[in-house]
Amino acid sequence: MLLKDLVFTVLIWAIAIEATLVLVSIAAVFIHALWFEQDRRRKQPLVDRALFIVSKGISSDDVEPEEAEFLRTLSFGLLVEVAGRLAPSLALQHRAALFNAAEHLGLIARAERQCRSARWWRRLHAVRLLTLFGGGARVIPDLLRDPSPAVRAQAVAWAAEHSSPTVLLELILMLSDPKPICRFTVQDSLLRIGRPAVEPLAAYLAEADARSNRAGALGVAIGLADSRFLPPALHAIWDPLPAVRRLAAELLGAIGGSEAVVVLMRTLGDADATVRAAAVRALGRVGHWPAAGRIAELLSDRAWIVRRDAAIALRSLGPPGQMLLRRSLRSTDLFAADMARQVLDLPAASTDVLTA
Amino acid sequence: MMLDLIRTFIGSIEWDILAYFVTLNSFYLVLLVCAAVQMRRYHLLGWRESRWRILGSRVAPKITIVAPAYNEALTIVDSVQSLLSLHYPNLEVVVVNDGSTDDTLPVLAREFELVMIHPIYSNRIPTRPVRALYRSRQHANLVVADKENGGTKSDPINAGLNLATGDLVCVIDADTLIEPDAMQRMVRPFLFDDRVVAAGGTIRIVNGSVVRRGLVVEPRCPRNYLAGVQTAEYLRAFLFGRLGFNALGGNLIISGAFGLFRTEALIESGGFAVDVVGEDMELVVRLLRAGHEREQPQKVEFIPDPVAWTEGPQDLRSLRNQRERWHRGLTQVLRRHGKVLFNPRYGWTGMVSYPVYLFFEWLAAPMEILGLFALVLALLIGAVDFHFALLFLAGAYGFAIVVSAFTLYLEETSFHRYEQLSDRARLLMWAMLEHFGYRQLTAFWRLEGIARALRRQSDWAQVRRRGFADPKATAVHAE
Repeated sequence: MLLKDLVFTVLIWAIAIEATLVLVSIAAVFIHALWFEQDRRRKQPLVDRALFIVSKGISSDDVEPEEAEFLRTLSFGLLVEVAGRLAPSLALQHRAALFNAAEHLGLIARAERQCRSARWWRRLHAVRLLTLFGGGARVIPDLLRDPSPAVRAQAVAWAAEHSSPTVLLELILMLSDPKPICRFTVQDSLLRIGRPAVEPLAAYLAEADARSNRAGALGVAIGLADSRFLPPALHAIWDPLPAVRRLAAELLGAIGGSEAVVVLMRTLGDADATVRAAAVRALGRVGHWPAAGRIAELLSDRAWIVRRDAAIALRSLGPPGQMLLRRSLRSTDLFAADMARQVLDLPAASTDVLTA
Repeated sequence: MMLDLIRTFIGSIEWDILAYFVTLNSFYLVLLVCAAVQMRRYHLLGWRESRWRILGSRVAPKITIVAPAYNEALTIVDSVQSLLSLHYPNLEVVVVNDGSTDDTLPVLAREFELVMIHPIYSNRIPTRPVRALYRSRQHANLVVADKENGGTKSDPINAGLNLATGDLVCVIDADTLIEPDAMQRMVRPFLFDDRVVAAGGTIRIVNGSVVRRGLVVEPRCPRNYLAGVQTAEYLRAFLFGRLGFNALGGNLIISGAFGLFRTEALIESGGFAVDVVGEDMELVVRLLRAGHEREQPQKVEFIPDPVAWTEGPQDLRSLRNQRERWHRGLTQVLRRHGKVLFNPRYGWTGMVSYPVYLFFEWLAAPMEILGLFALVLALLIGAVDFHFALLFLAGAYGFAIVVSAFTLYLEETSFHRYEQLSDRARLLMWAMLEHFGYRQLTAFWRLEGIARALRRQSDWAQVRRRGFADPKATAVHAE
């Protein structure tokens, strides 16, 4: 009975607490809904007016004193909202004007102070704001070594638009970052930076050691496709790792040239199927028709992807390749004949195939 | 003597049932706290994040969307159009017509100007034969495969996997509507962690909402009771259950209506199983298990963003078929992978996630029915005080209402999808009413699912769909 009394009491207390929590949650939902609606109605005219003033200031540098005063009365959140809406659609010279406006309103200094916060999310938000407004050259490069991967990645994104030689070197070293989000953002940023990244990246590939992320660097190099990558690509094609060799073959295909072709021809005999396939695709891309005979032999390769890519490469080599494909229809190797048949059956205008 | 027997029976189980519900609700409390913490972290990470970066990125992972379709003539155009208008730079859409007997393929061919192409692909996962392959003249990234019916949902998905060329593959139901920027959000877990092998997002009920050309332009809470309680139920399951599990070793399930996977991992695992009805959960458990066995633990992440909308059944028969099938699938999967239970070799999966699914997800229905049955019996024979019974029910269901109310608060403050105050009020009402009638009904259906699983029945029942455009039209869809 004592136990039952205890259970009874616990149940009553539990119900009372539950009822309170339910009422509080329901009240919170409605209060938040009402507040949200009121807040939106209050803010919308302020944001619209601020957008108009800032746009006018950016395009014509003509802001009335009372308009400037109005902007100074706006909260930090509203100013960020306005900048957030404007920034993505602004051209370079107008971004500078936005930066000047933000600096004048004290937003840059505030964001730079937040970059030194002990909380990771404050640092993250600060870097995002400085990426939006501009500025931050004094503090953000240090955040490339931040303990939080999210902060590092955001700092890398900032660096895509503020790359100096020092920052560029730092980005390239970050190709070996332990976190995939940082590596992805570095690759993306280097591609956005473009030509200025070629020399330091080629040097990184040339001096790569066991800790380097050669695959990541090669991936970026393929996107940039600059002839300055030829020496490191010629070296990477003999890397012990198949993934590196495959990317090196793709890079050679993107760069082209006689030296690349000679090496790609030798790579057609690589032990790894993905590397052979990449080499044959590269030769097709380069359009090196003298390789047609050697590529035709790969229609009998033991790996399906090599046979498929060889057939597609032959097709892209024009008449010499097409002739060899038609000859392969009579091959005693049924796999070669079948692959040739499938590729020859493709519509003439078809430039893409399923590459499963 | 009979009365004595009943009294003994009730006496032997009443404390067990009470202990079970106390343990269950204590776990839910932990899950609630975890969900709140995860939500806060998610919002801090996502504040002012620039999604245009992924949009313009040349290194964004390629995603293939595989959409199986069976007799979806009413909704297929809207669904495919919504897929093609997704904001993602490197996207491929593969629709697999699984031997439809209606006009699904002709509708697709007409609306998207399909032309037949020669299939050149590697059949790495065995499926029923693909009869023809088509590509759209209007959209070069749209491929339609016409195949023989495989009898299950897994077969067309596996056929789609064979055709997929993306680094990641997204598996959806053909009648799922995906938010335009869903892929930008869903790809993030894979960018943050190499161990992530699968990711899911919040699925919401679209019933009652305004849909135009495949886009949910105005989310509304349904006025219909069944659809309404399902809306509240889905919110709770995703924003509370799945999100909380992120902090407790990861989820064991990614919704078959919308999930993103690493393509190679999926193909190496052999794709979706064709001999279970819970193929989505079975795949995830298999992927996690394989990772642990290779000593390379994988992760399954859930993001709380609303990423997709699906139609909930609006009649009792369809709902019953759906819930019975879900629990039958759960039973099959738990039985198939029983080796994982409390096995330290499988890390958090074996020691936390799997036991939770077994004892709190699977066992909850039988325990609830048993508890209700015992309570009614006890009241009839006077073995328990009426007031005590009432208090017990109020306490048990009261906590469930707390969880629902808190979930709605999370939704309101985090995503704020329902603009109208009346929708929020209706949602709260459905969240309260869910626990009186609907919940008990689904518990019975789940029990039915367990029974059918134990009898090894694996047929697929029909669920009626109404489509998004014409509320009067009804199609029968085999799920």
